[in-house]
Amino acid sequence: MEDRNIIVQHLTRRFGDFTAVDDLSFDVGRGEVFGFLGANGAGKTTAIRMLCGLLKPTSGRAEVAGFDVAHKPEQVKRRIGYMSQKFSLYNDLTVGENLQLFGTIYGLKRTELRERMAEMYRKLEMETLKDQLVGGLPPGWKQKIALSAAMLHRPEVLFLDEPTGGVDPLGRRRFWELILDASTEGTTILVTTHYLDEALYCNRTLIMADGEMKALDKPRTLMREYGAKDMDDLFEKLTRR
Amino acid sequence: MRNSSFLSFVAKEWRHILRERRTLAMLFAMPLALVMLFGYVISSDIDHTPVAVLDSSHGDPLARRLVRKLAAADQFRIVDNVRREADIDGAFKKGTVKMVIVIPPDFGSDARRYGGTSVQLVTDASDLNVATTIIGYASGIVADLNSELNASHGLTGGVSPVRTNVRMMYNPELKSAYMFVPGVIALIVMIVAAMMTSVTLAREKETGTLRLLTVSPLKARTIVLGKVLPYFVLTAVNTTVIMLLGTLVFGMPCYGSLWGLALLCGLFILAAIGLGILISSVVKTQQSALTSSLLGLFLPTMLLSGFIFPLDNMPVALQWACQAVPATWFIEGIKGLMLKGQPVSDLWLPLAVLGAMAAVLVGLALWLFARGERPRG
Repeated sequence: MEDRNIIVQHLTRRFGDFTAVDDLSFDVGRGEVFGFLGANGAGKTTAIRMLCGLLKPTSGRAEVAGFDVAHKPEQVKRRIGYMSQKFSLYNDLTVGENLQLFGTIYGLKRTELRERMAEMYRKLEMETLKDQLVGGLPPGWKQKIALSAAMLHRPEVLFLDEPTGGVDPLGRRRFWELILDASTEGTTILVTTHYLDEALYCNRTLIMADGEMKALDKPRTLMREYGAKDMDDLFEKLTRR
Repeated sequence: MRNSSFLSFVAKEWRHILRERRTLAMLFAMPLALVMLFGYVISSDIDHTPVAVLDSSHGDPLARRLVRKLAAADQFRIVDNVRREADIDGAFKKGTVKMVIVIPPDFGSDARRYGGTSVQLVTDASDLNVATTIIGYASGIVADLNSELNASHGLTGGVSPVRTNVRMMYNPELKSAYMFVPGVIALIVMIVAAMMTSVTLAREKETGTLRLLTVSPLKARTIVLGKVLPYFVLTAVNTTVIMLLGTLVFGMPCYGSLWGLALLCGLFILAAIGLGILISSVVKTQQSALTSSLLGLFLPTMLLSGFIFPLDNMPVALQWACQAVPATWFIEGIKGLMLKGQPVSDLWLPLAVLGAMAAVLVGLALWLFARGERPRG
């Protein structure tokens, strides 16, 4: 089996004269936690949309979970999970209804779905919450449930697009524990964040600015290489030019 | 608050307004359109309405005098397609004539006698607005003739040698409940099928849940169809309820084919849903979906469909605009089927137009939706 789960080669996307993503190339290994760092408008979201099969690249290519994103988006979509702080769950549905909905959309059979939901409730200790409306839950819980919904179908690759916005530090720590758990189980994780301290949880981070890749390595290696005292300092050194 | 911060706050607000081009255009275009619409509709009268004369007096001089007066009036255009009593029904159903003036035998001689005579004004009352207006004109002309006759006999009014006798066809009791039913259905369909569809899709966009759906293996058309289907059903039920109310409570007749009626309603609902998806694919928020539906769908449905203002009263340019409003064809079809009992084959035009509208709107809407969110940096 291919041990690289994401392969990106010269990926470029232009909107008219504006180049949102400029010649991006990298690989992500199976089970790796890969961080995508950049300010708003750096091109992270455009890159993720291409990798999810939502947007066709202008040039270059990308393969996710073994399928070309431009030519086999349906195959890609079936094998990935997507979660974001902004694009969350349905507030007017209960926890169980949300999980059921997304499980079903991803083609889980009824018994399979029931088992996985039960397992998830146990793991997150949220048996009591399953009949509550998502809208009334605190953000930390919403986040965990959204992550659960995105992982219910056991995706090969999980895209987390700024997953921890608006969550307190403790909640973020707990959330990352779940992410790291998933990666030890073999799920490949690509995460964008602008909480720079979170980059330290990643095996490798890619730093983007103005649609271009500025650096790619282990976070600590990068900090040493650029003589940065922490991630903020590194980020500033790399993106200010 | 300091002066400069207040000014910059105002400036910011202006930017919001100026950058929202569509709203801005609407803010200017809507009052303009409304003023023009009301101005035209209220000031313009019915012109050159086709009317036929069924003259049983066979060339009586007084009858010819009446016909000349009718022909001289701007409001009427005399057409010659009703030769016998039996032709009246067909001419109304074809829509080639709006009123038939029936002149009795011995018209001239009876008019000179004590007690006088009467002409019958037969109208198509399924279009009640037009019917009452043209009866008013015709009665005025007859009254004019009466005063001329009285003057030539040295009389000073009070006596009417020629009376009028009005007969409303297809809606003899002038029940306006009938008239409202097709229009109300059209409005409800617009609310439930078009507005709700646009708002619900816009809501997915606004809350971001649409992204969760588009990134899933669901196809774009599956997402859209899955979302609009409940609204289709809801609208169909609604339509049925209104029709039952119309027939059971207001005694509205339904002479035509129920299958034809179902087909007509189905096509209209589809067209409305297409409009709803179309709106949702160009707006970003529920609020703008609501506003667009209200201004872009409701007002035309109410004002440009023959629901409130009769189409025949409108200037030609506006009549063309009416042809583009699905509700116009729907209301015409419903009146034909329910009130006139026209066979479905006679209504091929409204059905074909609605079918084409539904196909084009739904097709275009799905295409726009599948093309996805507009690119952002």
